[in-house]
Amino acid sequence: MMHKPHTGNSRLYWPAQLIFWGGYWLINIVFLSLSGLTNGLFALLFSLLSLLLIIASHQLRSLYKKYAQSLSLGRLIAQLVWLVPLLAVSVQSILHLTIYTLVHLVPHLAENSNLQRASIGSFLGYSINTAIMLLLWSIVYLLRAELIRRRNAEVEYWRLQAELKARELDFLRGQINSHFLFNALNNLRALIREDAEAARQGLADLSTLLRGILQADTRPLVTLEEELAWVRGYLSLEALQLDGRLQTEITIDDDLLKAQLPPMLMQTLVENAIKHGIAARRNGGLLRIRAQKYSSDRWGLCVENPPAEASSSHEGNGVGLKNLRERLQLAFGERAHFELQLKDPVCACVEMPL
Amino acid sequence: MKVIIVEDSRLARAELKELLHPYPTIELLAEAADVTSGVAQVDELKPDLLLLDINLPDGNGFDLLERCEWTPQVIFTTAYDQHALRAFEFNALDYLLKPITHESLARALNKVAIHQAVTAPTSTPLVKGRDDQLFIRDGEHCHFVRLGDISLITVEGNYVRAFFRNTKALLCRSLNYVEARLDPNIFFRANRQQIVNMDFVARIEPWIGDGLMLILKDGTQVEVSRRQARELKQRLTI
Repeated sequence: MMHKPHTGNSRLYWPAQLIFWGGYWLINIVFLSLSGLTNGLFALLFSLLSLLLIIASHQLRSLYKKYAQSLSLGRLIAQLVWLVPLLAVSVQSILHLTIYTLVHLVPHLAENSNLQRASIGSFLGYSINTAIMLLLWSIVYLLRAELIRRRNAEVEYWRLQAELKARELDFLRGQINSHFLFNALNNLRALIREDAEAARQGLADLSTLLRGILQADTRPLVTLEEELAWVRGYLSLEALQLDGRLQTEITIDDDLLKAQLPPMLMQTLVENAIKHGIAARRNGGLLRIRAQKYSSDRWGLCVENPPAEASSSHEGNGVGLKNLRERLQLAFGERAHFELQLKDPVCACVEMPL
Repeated sequence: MKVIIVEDSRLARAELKELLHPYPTIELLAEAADVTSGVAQVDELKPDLLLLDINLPDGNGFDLLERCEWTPQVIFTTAYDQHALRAFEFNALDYLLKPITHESLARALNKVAIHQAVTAPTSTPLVKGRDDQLFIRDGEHCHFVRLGDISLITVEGNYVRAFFRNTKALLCRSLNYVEARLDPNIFFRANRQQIVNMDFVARIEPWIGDGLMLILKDGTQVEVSRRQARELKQRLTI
């Protein structure tokens, strides 16, 4: 018995219905002819049966669709317990009513084709038979639906995985300022010809910085000393790009070297100061970094730069600072405080607990 | 081919010079490190080609082009700037990514050379001819427009709008400023609001009050004021 299983895909639903119940019709006809009873009337009656079953199974489908959305398994079974017998009895009632009418209205036709009135017993038998067919149909339908659900779930899983990877990559890309990186590489390339020793030092600085960036999200806090090494590496590379335009002044209280801060925090402030300040000035300017102890348990980090010359073309989108605030919040909660003063010089200060 | 480099990093300039070294036909006129000095050099030296960095201390490469009166061929250079890259792709502009290789530079220079052979620049420096270029930035859109392609220029507020190749773009200059720099043999000031490229005029019809009506090839009608009509008639009878 060949019946193509259902798909949840509505495009294939009706062809599958025709094949399933068409197959049922064919099998009935084959059995009938084996017992020597073939004529047009029976073929017609079985066509009516298949048609009724298509309608009945369609009712079941709407129940299964509801089940897929919200119905619990218990409720589904409770529904099936009365719905399947009801549908089977309805189908057989219509069929028997038709036969009954035919036998009474055209008796000779009924006699010729060996059509007899059914007894209560045979009516019940046929109804059970129909109920079994409807359950069989349900099994095929639900198996197919489950198959599709699993396949979709797998596709969805891999799609989410891909999205997650893309996000991770986005995060990394955000950490590494690509514009800075490629400028640095370009400058080092030129420096190799001019001063090979300085270029070697530049590559070492770049390594230090990249290592810092790659480590940044593996640890919640780093010491000021470590962060300072990354920032110095960064500054010496920026000095290549900005040439004589960048002057730096770094003042750190000695006993703060072991103070802890979120990784790349100072780096973000320094990068902003250069990008939106010194690099945006024809004559550059002075970058001032200060780390000061405010009290026995608080310290502050301030980065100062002169304001940009052509402010409009060097405006950022605020993502860097938003990110910085989030990292501070994550590390220290309410105990840290960030403030950006847009005056001359521009001053970005972070106050943190020791 | 006369070239100017505009680039803020000294090392990057040195690298570009080194890369240009193998080309005997290229003459490096000058180097600039920012928009202000770049504009001055371009307008003074009138190079054929500009190697232009996008990120400059006092603005960007597009600002520079907008402020220059002379518009040379341009190859943009950038390290990696998502905004700039989008603008390049969007406007189909030529650009080189740093670090620049010999091959990518050769390809870009080749394109410029071909373009130059097709449109030989006119020798009159002050007045621009059909084959001279104009750089217009209108929002996200950047246009290098051949003047011969501009059919009509109309006043819009304090600025003017140029119509070319089924496009229009706002140019941040006054109509008088633009008129002074256009070849009067090609462009005609029809009235207080409009300048017409005479190459695009399909018909001229008499109009009320001794005026004239110019009908352009695309069907646009441009009224010529009485005073200008007299001048146009004079020009046409000669």
